[in-house]
Amino acid sequence: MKTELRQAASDLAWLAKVPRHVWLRLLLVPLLLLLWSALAKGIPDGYFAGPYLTLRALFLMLTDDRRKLLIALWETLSVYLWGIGAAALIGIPAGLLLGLCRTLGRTLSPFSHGLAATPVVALVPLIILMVGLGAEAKVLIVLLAALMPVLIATEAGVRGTDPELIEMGRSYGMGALTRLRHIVLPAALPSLMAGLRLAAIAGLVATVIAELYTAMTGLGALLQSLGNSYRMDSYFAVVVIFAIIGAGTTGILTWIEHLLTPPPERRRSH
Amino acid sequence: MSAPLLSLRGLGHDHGDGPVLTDLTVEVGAGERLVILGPSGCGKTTLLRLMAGLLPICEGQLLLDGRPPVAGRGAALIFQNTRLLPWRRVRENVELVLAGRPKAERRERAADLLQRLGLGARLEDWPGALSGGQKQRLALARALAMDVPLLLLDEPFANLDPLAREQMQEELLRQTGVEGRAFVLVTHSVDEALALGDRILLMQPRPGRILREVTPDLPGIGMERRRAPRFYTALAELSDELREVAREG
Repeated sequence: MKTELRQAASDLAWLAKVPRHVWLRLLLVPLLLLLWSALAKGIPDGYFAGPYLTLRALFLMLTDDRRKLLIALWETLSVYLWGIGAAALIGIPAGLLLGLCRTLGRTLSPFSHGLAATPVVALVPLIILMVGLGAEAKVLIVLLAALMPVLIATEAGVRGTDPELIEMGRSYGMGALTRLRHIVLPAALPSLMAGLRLAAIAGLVATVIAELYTAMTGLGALLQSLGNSYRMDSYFAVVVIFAIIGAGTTGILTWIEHLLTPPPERRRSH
Repeated sequence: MSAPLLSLRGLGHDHGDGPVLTDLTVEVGAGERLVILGPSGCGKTTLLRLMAGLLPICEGQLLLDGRPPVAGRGAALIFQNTRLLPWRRVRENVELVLAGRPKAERRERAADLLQRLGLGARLEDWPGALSGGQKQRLALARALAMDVPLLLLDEPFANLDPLAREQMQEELLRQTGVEGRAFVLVTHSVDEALALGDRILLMQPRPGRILREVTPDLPGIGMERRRAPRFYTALAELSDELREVAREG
């Protein structure tokens, strides 16, 4: 008996290694479902749907032969990932440049902050005029919404690099590229990754905007058609998918940051 | 007579809000140990940064090995707060200053230096896991990895406890002695100046200038000098001189 108990305890030893925040997250899921359920009871049908109806609708949509949801999901993910990918490819080098060249950064700062504060919706007519209503326009809208958080956070991370470390690098004969690789980039990484997470969230909102204001495709278009026909269970099923995409993308980015951060710095990171 | 390793002639400096240093003339020979002692604000750190080539020469002349100093060449600077890269391992902190050499050579040289400084078992550790004294040993190893004839030390032992401080002072003397390297050490500590310097320059603030040069009339160096019967008398005399300098300033 004792041996069996000992064996069972050793089999469950991995549970002790699960971080506390993961347990708390798991605990939050039923709490949120309860709250959602209570909220649904107080709102008349046709305006809201509770968790049971929503999850049932989600299951039916996923198993539907016409694959309407899966096709819409693919369209949305393509636009979203191309948009935030392009924002990272442009925003990180541009942020590094503005952070390293202080005069250039200071000169362009009001313009970059002004552009960041401009609602992307306001630029949609101009974008349609320039590139039409197709996928390019959607990607451009997502890119514009996601670019500035990456750029501004990268620039702030570079500017926040300890000047004493930069001076140490110079005094030990490290060239500009060596200093960038071994001092500036590691120092700017937490800020840069926070910018990418913000960009992922802003980009997802912009994806819906793009799908509603240009040629109507993807989950955005599906959301509008379900809303117009008062099918609130399916409507909230799509909302849940958006929430999962947002949480999933930021989760992946947090994991990448964890991989890129050396162990002594990990406690400070997200 | 051979040319001095480091030569300052009428050197001055101004950060833009009044002179920080004025009319400094001094020479340092190969393998020599020079200590600069003075109260806060007398421009000791600015002087080291000029010697390291981190600041432009505004006034006078400063030559290192017959040429104006260039950052990263000719001298290695050791800072008070070590300035180690927390995201690079102990070994990598040393290897980084050996850039340009083959990887195997970098590894071997770094391991050899760290072994010499008692950090052979900590090669793969992170700097954050080291004690204050070990961090200074690592900073010293990083400076020694630079193939330069002069070390510039900016109060490197100020944050260490007395025992660790003495150990590091002995380590500095041993390591520079082995390779015949000269050093210029800036310090607030009269005891440290007297124990480590072949010559001691007393500096006066506002603007920083050399007021007096003292050559300790004591045998040996480091711990050996500390054990000399006249050490504490000389310490009291030097402290009096420093107080006088501070008063005059």
